[in-house]
Amino acid sequence: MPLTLSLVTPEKTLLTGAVDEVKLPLADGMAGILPGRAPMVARLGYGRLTVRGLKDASNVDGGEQTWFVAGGFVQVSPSKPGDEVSGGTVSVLTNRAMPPSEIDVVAAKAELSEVSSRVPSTPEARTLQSRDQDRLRAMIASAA
Amino acid sequence: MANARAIVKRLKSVKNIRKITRTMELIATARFKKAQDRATEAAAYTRKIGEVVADLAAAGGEISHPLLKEPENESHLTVLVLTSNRGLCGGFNSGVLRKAMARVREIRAQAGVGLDLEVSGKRGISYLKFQQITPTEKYTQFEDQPAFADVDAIADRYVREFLNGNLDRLDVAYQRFVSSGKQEPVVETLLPLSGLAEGAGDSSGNGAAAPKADGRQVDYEFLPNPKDILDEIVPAAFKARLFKCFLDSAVSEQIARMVAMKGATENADEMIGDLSQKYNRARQAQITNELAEVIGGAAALE
Repeated sequence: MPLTLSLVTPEKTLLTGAVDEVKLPLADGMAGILPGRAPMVARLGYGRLTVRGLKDASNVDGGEQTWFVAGGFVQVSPSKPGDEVSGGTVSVLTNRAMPPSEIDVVAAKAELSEVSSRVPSTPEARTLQSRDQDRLRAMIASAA
Repeated sequence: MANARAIVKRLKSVKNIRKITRTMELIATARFKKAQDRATEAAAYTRKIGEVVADLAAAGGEISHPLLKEPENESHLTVLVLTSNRGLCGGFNSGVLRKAMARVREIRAQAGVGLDLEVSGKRGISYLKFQQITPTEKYTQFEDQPAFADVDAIADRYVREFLNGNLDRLDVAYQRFVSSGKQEPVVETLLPLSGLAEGAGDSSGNGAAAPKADGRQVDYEFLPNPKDILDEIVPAAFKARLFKCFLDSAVSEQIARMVAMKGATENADEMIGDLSQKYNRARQAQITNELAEVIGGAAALE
C-alpha cells in the first residue's frame, strides 16, 4: 500500500510517483509520513525531504532519495475510490526544491554572512533576517 | 533593361526578408511551445494552493489576512506593466500599453493619489520614454522563460509595502492567455488579493476535493494551526498569481510574434509572386524589343 507523492514548485512539478515513506521538515520539526496517514495540512520548514521506495522509469527501487525544500506546505489527503494507489496522496508545495548535490554551498555561505551582517531596524526586518538565516543554514546543512 | 535589373534587386531583398520572417516564425513556435509547457507546469502549483485554501475554508477557518483586506482609502497605487523586450510581435505591446495608459490616466484624474508606474520589458520602457513618463522601476530580466526567483523578489517587495501601508493597490497590465487562439490585454488587480476563497470553491468542483461533493467530508489536521498556514499561504497564492501574469505574458508574446511573422511571410510570398511576374514581363518585353531591332536591321540591309 504505497502512497502517491507529488513535489510541486511554481516552476514545475519535480516528481510524482508512488513511494513507501516520506520524511519532511515541518515548521516545528521533522515528520514522517507513512501510507494511510490521517489527512493533514501543514507548514513546511527548511531542510531535507527524504523519500523511500521511489521507483524510477524502469521500475527499479531507487532506495532513499533526498531533496532540499525551502518552506511551503504539505497536504496529505486520503485516497479516493478509483485511485491507483490506496495509501493516500502527499502534495508538497514549495518555492524551491533541489537535490542536495545542486546546492551551491559557497554562495549560500556568502549570502549567510551578508544576511547576518545586516542590522535590522524594525521587528519585521528582524523576522525576515532570522528567516533568511534559518533558510541558509538549513541549506548549507543539507548540502551533500 | 534598367527596369528588369531594378526588379531583380527588389525580388532578391524580398526573398531575403521572407527567409528571415519564416525563421522567426519557426523560432517563435518553438519558444511558444516551451513557454506553454512551463505555464502548464505552473498551473499545478496554483491549483494545489487553491485546494489547500478550500480545505482551510471547509474546516471552518475564517479566511482573513491583511493581504485580502481592502484599504480604507487608496492613496498609493502601483501599476505594473508587462511588455516584451523585443519587437516584431504585432499588436502585443501596443495593446497592453493602451490598456495600461487608460488605467494610468484614470488614476491621474483622481486627486491626492500617488502613482508608481513600474514596467517590465524594453518595449514598454522606450514607449514611456517617448511619452516622457519616468517609470519608478524598470525590469528587463524577463525573457520568454521568466524565473520564479526573479518574480519572487518583486512579489516580496510588494507584500512588504502593502503590509506597511505604502501600497494600497497593485494593478498589473498584461496580455492574458485565454487559449492559443485568443489572448487579450487586461488590467488586473492583484493586491488586495481577491477571489481567493471563490477560486478555491471552483477547484473543489473538479480538483482533489471532489469527494466532498458526494458528501465525504475530509477532516484535516492542521499543523501547527490553521491561522499559521493561512498566514503563509496567502502570500504564496499572491506570488503564484503574479508569476502566472509573467508566464501568460511570455506565452502571449510568442503567439503574437508567431502570428505576426506568419503574416509577414505570407505577404512576402505574395510580393515575390507579383515581382517575378513583373520581372518576366519586363524581360520578355526586352527580348521582343531586341528581336524587333535585329529583324529591323536585317530588313534594312536587304
